Amino acid sequence: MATRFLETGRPRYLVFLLAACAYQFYLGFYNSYFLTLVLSPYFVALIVATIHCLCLQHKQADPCHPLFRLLCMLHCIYSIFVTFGRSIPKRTTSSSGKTLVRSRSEASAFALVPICPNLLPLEQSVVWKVVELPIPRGISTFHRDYPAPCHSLISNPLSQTGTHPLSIEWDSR
Amino acid sequence: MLGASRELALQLWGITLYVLNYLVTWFVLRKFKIHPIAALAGAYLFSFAFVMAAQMGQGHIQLVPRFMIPIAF
Repeated sequence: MATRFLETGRPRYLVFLLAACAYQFYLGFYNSYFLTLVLSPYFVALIVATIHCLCLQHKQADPCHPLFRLLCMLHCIYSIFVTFGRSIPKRTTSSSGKTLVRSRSEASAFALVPICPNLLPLEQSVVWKVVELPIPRGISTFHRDYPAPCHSLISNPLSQTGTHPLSIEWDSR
Repeated sequence: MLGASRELALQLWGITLYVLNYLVTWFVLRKFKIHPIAALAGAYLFSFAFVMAAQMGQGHIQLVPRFMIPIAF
């Protein structure tokens, strides 16, 4: 249905696609989650392949145009990120300063959350290593991978020497 | 299921799901104008791949019904 919708543009195929996804969600949430993950790269791949075929058929544009190659490269990066992002082990720092490597199995509570928005709040995120945002004193942060609430090191006097503004300390209560 | 016992109904349900997975995948691959033998092989891989059959062996029968995934594509 996704292929037919992109080929013909008829909205009824989009309705069929949504109905198929909805029924698959009814059959099982786990498989459906991965179906929704795969569908968006499939859409992009189909669009890129269609553009390529049109360029070859009509010879209106060069398929090796830098813009086209940039689009292909971005699509490959996005697909790899979406598909394998969850399998990458995460590096975390414990309260004693020891670096730990945790697998994805420990993030069971939020395992079904897509990794794209989930990367931002993590303390080991690449984004937060580059961008240091000021955090008001006393504001608690919540580590999404663990059920227990924990507070930021900013409220801990021992953390004043820390280098990372979003380092997180376990709440012992 | 059809008046069968509990255990037999579970077995019939599993068999029905595997058959549905196979038939729907074969139908969709044929709609994509794929060679019949390749469509048979693709449907076989999608339905009876070892990775998915292992889920059945561990008792995760809820992961078997996935016959709407090929239709979505």
